[in-house]
Amino acid sequence: MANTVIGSTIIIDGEISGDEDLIILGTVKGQISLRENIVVERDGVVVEANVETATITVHGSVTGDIHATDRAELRADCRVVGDIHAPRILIADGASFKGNVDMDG
Amino acid sequence: MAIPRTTTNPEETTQETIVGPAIAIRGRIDGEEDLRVEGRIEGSISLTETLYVEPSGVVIAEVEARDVVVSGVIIGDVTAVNSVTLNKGAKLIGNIRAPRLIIADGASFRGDVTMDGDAPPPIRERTRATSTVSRAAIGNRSIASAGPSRARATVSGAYETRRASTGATASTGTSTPRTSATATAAPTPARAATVREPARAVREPSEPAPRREPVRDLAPPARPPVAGRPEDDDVTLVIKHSALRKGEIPPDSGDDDGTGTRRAKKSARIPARGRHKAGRR
Repeated sequence: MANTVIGSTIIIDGEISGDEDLIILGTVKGQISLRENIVVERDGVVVEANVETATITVHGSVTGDIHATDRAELRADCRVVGDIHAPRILIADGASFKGNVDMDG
Repeated sequence: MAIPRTTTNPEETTQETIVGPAIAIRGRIDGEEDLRVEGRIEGSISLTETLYVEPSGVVIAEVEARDVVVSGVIIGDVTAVNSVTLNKGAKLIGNIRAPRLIIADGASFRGDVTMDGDAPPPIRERTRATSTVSRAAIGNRSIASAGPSRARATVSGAYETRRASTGATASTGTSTPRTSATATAAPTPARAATVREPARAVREPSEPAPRREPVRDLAPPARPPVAGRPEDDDVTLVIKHSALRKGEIPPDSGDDDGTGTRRAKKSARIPARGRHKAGRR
């Protein structure tokens, strides 16, 4: 539990920045810039957000551009609308995605 | 059997949001669960549950919550439906509105406390608290010289200014004992009134420098007929205070300008060796 958890009833409207893992079960609007990992859980929603991170794993929903320096994973049942820039992109069966993919980094 | 488990575990079963020590959030946070801040939050927080600010946590925000437990730092007004607890090592700057307030030994707090449920008072108290904050930010010096009440300071300041102007006409700048601020002020209006005023009046339109403005504002009371309204005096003093600190140099630079324009170059004034007349050759 050392990392940061945004609980399911929490709504953050603004900017999140930092150097540690972030688990999102709630709703975040705005900018997220981390140098570590982001996990958007099943009920987690990220809307109108630009996400900059090392790795992102999406089980929930993301609307906005994703810039990952390492990896972006779209798991089953996730919904992502927006562009993804990442050297490694994994899209699981059942994931829903709309947007551009750029793997050049 | 199940009861003790549910009573011992509620904090683990009910969700909790944690903002870790390396995380900074800027913006608005709304929620219906506990929020534990070990990092930094700027903006506003509105919770229906408990806000914990851990020792490493810094919250610069308007806070609304059911309970607020502070071991770290909060800068901003705190409104709690139930209670506010300041633990040892806590630091809170802002107003507290809560029916219950617990301040432990070793906690630091500055602000107003309201323990009843009225809505209007906090607005008034907020302004009062901002004045305390800005007082500290300004520093003790100016406040000590200005005195506790600003109104009194403006009245006395206006009086001193007028006295300074009379002293200027008598060309005894620092004969009367004054406070340090007015003592430094005295020569400025004197110079401005007696020496510089005509030239300044001519040059005024072309002068873009806003730093001279205070001097210009000081000059009018030096003229005998001008009896400024009390409002003008108030405004004059406020400007004067700000002007005297950074204005220490501008009058001198004004002097330099004056000599530059009034006195001709040395070569123009003093005849060169072997000549009778100075000037262009």
